Amino acid sequence: MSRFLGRRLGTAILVLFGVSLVTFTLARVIPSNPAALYIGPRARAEEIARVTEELGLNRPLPLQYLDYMGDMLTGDWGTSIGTKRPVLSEILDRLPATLELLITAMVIAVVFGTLLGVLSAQWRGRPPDLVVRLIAIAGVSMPAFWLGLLLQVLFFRQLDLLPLSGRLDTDIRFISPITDVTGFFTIDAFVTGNWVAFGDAAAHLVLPAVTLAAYPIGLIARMTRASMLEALGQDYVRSARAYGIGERTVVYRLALRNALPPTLTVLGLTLAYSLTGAFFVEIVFNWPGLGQFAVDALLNVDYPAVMGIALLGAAGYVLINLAVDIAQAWLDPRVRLA
Amino acid sequence: MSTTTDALLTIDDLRVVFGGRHAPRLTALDGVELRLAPGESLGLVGETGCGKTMTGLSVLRLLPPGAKVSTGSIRFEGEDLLRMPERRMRRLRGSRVTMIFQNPASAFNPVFTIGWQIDRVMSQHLDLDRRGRRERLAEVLGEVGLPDVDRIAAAYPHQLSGGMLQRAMIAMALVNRPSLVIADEPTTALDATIAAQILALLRRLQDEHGFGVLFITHNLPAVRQLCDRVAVLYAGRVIETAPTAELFAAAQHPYTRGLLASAPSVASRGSRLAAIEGSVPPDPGAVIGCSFAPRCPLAFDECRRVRPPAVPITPTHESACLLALEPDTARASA
Repeated sequence: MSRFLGRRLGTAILVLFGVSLVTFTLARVIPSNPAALYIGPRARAEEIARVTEELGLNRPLPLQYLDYMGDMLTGDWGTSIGTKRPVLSEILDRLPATLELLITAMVIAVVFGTLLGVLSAQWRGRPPDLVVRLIAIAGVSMPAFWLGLLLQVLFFRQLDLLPLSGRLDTDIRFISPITDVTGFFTIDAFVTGNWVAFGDAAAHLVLPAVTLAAYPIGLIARMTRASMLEALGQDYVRSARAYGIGERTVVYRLALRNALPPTLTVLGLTLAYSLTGAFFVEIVFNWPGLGQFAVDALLNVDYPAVMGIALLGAAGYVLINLAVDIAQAWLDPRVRLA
Repeated sequence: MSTTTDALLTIDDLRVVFGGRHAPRLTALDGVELRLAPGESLGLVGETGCGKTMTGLSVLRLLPPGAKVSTGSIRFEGEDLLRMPERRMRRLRGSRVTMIFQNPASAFNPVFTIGWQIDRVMSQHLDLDRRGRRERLAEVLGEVGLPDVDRIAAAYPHQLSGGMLQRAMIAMALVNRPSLVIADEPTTALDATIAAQILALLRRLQDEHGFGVLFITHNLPAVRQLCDRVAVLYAGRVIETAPTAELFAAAQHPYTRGLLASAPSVASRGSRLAAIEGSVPPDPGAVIGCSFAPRCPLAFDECRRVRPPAVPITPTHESACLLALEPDTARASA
């Protein structure tokens, strides 16, 4: 197990290194003048020269890369050209909001996706199966921004059940402000017993999280259905039934445990996709996460910010897949003990 | 014929059909009759597709999707299994009636330990605490020749050999002290030497504990080693049944004789193996006369018109063949 972990960690670091190299190179070959952008419009030639010197943009690329890596590792991710603030603190300020949304969406996706997939397999070919397959196809094929708008129209305008957008009602800041613990509003409000703020934060979270979860729900449901059907057809399921094991144990414990690994693999890939999906959803729901910042950075060729976000995304992707690999090994002794 | 009260298992006129509504109807079992006394070991032999496994699965009421019992009765310890509510049926499976499967490597769940899986079967049916179950597990693993309890219990299926897995399977089958064990080709997936050990083990355990065995196989020497009595199944019907020694010495039915002749033996070394020409009819239910008649070297006109009833040859030996009925008159009319 430790050898397995070591190998996986090694590859993870290698991938991160590769990504940093690619983002760095891309940011440098994009045909634009970062120094000019940094100063803003109507920059004079001597100013550009000075800033080019200051930012080290005139040094050889390999040296720039080494500087960049050294800075990254010491926590200096450069200064955003757009906001003139350190990229790392810009990112860290917005990260909790994005993570709260992403994690909530993933929990929803895993729980409902798996459940729907299992139900669908159990009722193969009968009405529940058809309903689940319809949901799955809808979830996969509906663009997030459109689904977000639909949900807003339904739950805010028609039913008036859930807030339209944002992370918190403005008056919460005055009535019952949240003490910062983790940056996750729901968790912070919960652990400090701030029920008013908790309810409000949770209500704000529902629509964006569901919107973001729609695609992975569909994917996970379909994957789980397929792998459950395979597992339910195996000899060991027949032997469990022949030994009088209850049907619930047979399905949810004995078969599902075997059906989870393929689902997990899909989950790892979907999570990475959902990180970008989260940016769209954040814009639709005016969610104060990384989304708006990332889009602005891209449109303004704010290369330190773009690089920071790209690296963060890559790190997230690598970490998620590492976690998936570990979970696979934990679930399947044939992987763990091989 | 033995009365039903002292029988462990009585199967009467069991018919199992496939398909129906949308698919064409096919008969898998065409009126199977079986008697099994308590502690008796009955071999159910026949070629692939004759309905052996289907018979075993019918007893547990675990027929594959699409197959269903159309008529007949299965009485186990005096109760009609086909009329039993599903809840009670489930309590029976794995406790009073257990099954040993053909391929132990796939019959165990790959992601749970052997110990956990046997323990789960115990906790489903026995009212024992964790320690009691642990003791029972050690006891039963010892009985099947796996004395290294801790290692076996902590092992996952892929860590054990086929022979060890089949021993563990037998342990699982016996852990709740059943009165009937259905062994469906338990040695087919194993090496010859391991297979012989497994058969000897089953025989010894049966002598010690006195459970009945329904031994489903196409392996005639294995039947000879393990069984008190043999029933030969052909195209979904029992065509001959007799005590093992008598069947091997004096089989009446032409199919049984063909089957015995086609089994390789040391005595027949060097000579060409006998084979039964032709194949089993695809839908035995559609055959009017004797289902073996198209392949039978001794068949005569009557065989294609009349379904032969089970004819007693001795009090313990029956054969469903017109030749057994009135050998002389039958031959005369041929």
